[in-house]
Amino acid sequence: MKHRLGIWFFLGSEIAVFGGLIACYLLYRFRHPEWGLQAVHTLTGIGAINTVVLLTSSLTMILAHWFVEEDNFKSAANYLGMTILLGIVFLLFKSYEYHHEINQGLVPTKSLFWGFYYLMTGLHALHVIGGLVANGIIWTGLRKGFSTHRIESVGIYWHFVDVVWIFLFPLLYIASSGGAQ
Amino acid sequence: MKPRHLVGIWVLLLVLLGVSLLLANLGNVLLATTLIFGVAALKATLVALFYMRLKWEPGYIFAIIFTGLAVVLILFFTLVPDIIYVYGN
Repeated sequence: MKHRLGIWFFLGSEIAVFGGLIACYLLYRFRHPEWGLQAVHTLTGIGAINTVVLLTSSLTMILAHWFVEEDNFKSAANYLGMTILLGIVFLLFKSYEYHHEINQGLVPTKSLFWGFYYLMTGLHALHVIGGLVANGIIWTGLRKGFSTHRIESVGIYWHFVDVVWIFLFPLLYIASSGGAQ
Repeated sequence: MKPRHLVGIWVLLLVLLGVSLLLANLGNVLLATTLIFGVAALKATLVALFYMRLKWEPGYIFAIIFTGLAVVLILFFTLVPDIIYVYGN
């Protein structure tokens, strides 16, 4: 139970960090409806694909945890390996997006919208990288046949990163395109 | 939960993602935005309850989460006067 309590305390502070950023973004957005015109330059298709990638990685993560509880470490390692691969795929798509946007001159200093965009997605990407490192450590242990309940804590963290993206996607992509400007 | 239930939740999450993308095409901006964030909140709730296993956690775990959310709400409402009085009505 101690490890679960620890990870939830950590996530409680993370809620304040990401929530604070989202709150500031929303307040500025209310004052600047013209941000919708800037936000249409985000790549909604790739954002949607990345959402599918992260949701799928959450599934493989929880399946890895389920197999650990069944003492089936081989299957757990396979599912955790898939989670790591999906996390890397997410970062590759995100890198492509950054490359595309920066090539168009849409850099963090272009406007407050792009400053928020790079800050929020960049901080999220750093959390993905942190999750990948933690997953990699657990994966190495599972491959050696170590039973580890740390996978539960790492899993809760990974799902939290997924939850953050669930909110970032409509904030920065969907609610900015089409009719919802 | 068995793997088939976990896969079922994943399918539901993907369906909700599709719904969000369709809602972006609604003509009414306010309605579309409200519904899109409603769907996002539903997706986050599903992940938190079943993947993060909050459904089976004791009450004090919820207290930790609500403390974080309370901090965000305090920040939000203390910034509102700045937005109104510094930027105008």
